[in-house]
Amino acid sequence: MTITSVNFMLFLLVLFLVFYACSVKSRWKVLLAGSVLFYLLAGAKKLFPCIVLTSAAVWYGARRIGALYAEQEEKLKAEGLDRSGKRAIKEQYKSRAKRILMLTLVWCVGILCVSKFAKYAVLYMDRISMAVNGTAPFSALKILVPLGISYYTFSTVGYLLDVYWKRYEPEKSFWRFFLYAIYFPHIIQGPISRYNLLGQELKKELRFDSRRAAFGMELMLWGLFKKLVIADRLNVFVSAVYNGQDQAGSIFLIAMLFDAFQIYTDFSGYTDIVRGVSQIFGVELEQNFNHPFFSKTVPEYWRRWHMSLGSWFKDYVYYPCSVSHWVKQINRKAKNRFSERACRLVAVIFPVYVTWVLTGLWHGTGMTYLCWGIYYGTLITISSAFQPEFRAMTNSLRIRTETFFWQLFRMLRTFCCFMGGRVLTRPGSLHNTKIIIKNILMNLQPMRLFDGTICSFGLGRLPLALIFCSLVVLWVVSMLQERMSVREALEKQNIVIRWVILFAAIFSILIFGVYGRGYDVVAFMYQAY
Amino acid sequence: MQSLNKRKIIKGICFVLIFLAIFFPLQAVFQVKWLQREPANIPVTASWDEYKSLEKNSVDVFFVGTSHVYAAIDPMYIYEHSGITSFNVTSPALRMDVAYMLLKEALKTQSPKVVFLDMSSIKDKKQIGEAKAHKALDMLPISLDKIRYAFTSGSKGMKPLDVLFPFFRYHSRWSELTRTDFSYLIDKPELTADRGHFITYLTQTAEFRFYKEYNFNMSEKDASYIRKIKGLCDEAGAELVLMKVPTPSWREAISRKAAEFAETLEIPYLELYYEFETMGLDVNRDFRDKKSHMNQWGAEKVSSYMIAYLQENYELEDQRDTNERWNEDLVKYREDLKELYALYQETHQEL
Amino acid sequence: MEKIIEILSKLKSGVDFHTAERIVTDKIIDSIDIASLITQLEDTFDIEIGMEYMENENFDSAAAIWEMIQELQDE
Repeated sequence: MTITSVNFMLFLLVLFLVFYACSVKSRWKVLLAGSVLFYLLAGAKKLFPCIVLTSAAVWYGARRIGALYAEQEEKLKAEGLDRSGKRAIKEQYKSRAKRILMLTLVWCVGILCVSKFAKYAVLYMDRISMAVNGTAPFSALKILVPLGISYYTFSTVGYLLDVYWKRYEPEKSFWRFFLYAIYFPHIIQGPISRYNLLGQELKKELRFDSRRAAFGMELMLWGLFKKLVIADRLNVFVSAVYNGQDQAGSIFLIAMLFDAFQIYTDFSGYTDIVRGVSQIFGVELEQNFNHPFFSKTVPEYWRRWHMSLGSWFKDYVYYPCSVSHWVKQINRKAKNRFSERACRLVAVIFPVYVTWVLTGLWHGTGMTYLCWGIYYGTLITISSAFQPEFRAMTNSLRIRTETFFWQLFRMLRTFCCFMGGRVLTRPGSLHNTKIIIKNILMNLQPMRLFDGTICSFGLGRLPLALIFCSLVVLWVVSMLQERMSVREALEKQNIVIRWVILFAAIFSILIFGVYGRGYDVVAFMYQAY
Repeated sequence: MQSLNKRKIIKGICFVLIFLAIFFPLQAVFQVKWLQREPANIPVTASWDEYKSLEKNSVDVFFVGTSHVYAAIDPMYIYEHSGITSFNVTSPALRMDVAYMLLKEALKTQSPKVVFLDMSSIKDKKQIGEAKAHKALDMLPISLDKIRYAFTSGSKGMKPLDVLFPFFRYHSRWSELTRTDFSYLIDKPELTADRGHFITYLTQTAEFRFYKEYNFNMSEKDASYIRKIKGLCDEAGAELVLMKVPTPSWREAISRKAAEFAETLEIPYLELYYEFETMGLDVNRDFRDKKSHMNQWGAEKVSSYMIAYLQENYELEDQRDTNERWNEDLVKYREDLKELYALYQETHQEL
Repeated sequence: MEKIIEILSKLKSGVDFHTAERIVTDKIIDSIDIASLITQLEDTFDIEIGMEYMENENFDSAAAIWEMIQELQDE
């Protein structure tokens, strides 16, 4: 059951009716039951225990840590403790809490790693067995990955760390916590939610609000438009180019451009759909995309693209790394030896690279993603370390930084950096990446764009024209969204205008969406007798 | 508060109504329209339009079945030579379940006295292919039967939603819509006068085989739908006759089973296989392809035989002196025949 | 307090940190700046800033940082 399927729409309808038919107090249970059902329908049923094991471990670990902290508070309140006595108690409880934290972390991250790297294990076991007796018995093993494992592991681990860092109290009820982990709108592709936000959202009284439900459906429509009309159509083209043989560099450039919009509309469309779905049930999910293509720098880009992942890595990897004993030690040493600038650079490099390599591995395992992580780590280090030089350069070139064209240039520059990252991972292997870059540099053939070649990648003239039009719509709507809430503006319009826009949206998705079986003229005309 | 809720409900209902008011015309635009004669296919849409244009209760005989029926039976020929009005209620590869729905729909406007049901499809155990299924299904309005079919049919790749709302199957036609797709809504093209028959003069030698040894059992599904069709006919006051149009590759065992089944239903069974020679069918001249579909010459022979059968067993009115519509159509039909024959000769000489 | 402002100013010139609020929330200083800020604060005030204090509101203005430092020094 995919999120754009008819079955999912039916599932939503039934859940919606049951949800609002139940009393306010038991509605969260309906969501829990619905989420479990969705999980079983959408993924590998056999792996359902994985999510239970992870969330149970985290829930229990957090409870234990919470209990330890409560005990510590009790002891600290006791009379007659001097400062060093208090410190000793704190140290003692800190290390006990840390032990629980580590155990739970190893457990959860262990499950995550096993499921992510199992395919390599199979591959290597087969290689060994191939060398020994010439058979490959393991390739028959189908490695399944639990649905949404990176997402639920990250959100539950975030919760565990927050409790450990005393940001909030642990959740008492396992079922409440389990709902947070398995909540169906965010389970497959995020956003990676924070417990202090989503957990609280799920706890409030979930009452029906027609305005919010309408807003939710409008957001879903916009997401479906992005996903079905733009992303899935672009995908036809991009896959055809990347799966094919050598192309002219210009074709690869177009494919890279299309690919950037494909992944953006696909992922952000998906997020809009699930946020809309969640809104219908009265639960607000975090924003995950904030028009990243309008970013002027790479760090800004990563604050606006897959925001929940970026902020997760910032809060749970980058900062812990920066304040860790180890890094501080290195910094101090550097300070004694180097200039202040060099020191700043050292302070930055290590945590940035750790964060980005891990972000890369989160996206996918393998060399391409490792390179991708290093690529972004380098970009961000450079942009941070050479800030003074960049500023001096713009000053000496007398560039007026507030002009529109300068800002546009910065946006395009950032966009190109993003495409550079994609070209590392999208073609599937570094070898393919090399081919693409070679063709762009040595074999551009710009005339290929006009001689009809472009129509030979699964999309004819009309679909390409449609893509152009829908990208214009995307751009206009994004510009509007930057300035205001489009849905609120729509709400203020006259009902005729509002409905015309809504029906136009609904029917353009129904007609132009890429879904179902394609209509095959030949099959209908000639095979039918 | 209450009036506010009421307003919201009314708004909701309006929204749904407007949606439907846009959706159904749009679906009609996107549906594939089979209007042209193709090398091997009956234009089902045109044929069904023709059917619906006929005067109520003016057709006395139905021939229900697959492509073999619309190839072998020529209702206009029957009318020309006997004055008996008949129509081919057919669609390619029609299985008994869809045949039941098609007949039920057809019986809404006509009350035939005799219904012939061809048994060619009972040999096929596999579900009808998706494209062929759509040809028949798209013509039928949504009904309980259709909903049941949508959820139980096993056509490969066919989704319930596609059956009930063909729009979802055809939406990607947006880039290839033609003027006809739109104009068809307001102004239907000139009606055909084929009465559901497929005219062709193409000729190919058919492989004539009538296998003796074969183990065959009719599927329970087919049996139950034939029973249901019997029920429909009883209700409409029509007599049901099971038949088998001669097709050169056939197995005696299937015919035997069909005959037995007719006996249990206490209805006649007409096995045209045994009349192959009586009719004077010629494998070298009367078929258009190896798959044993008949051409016009074959159709005329089978139709002549059917005239004799109908006249012998039933008292059906000769309408040639009174039925203006059919006489008019007969003129058009003859012109079409001439045209197609000329076309055949042209291409034939080139070969 | 003045020391904090001095450190902040060195980190990012052209901002008046006496009056600036929401310096993290509004992205005036980014996460990389915060990381180097922490080491400098720790060295200057002889404290250790643990993950418990890594929250936006503790770094959003010079006053907030000062408050946090006092809290840490109390321990």
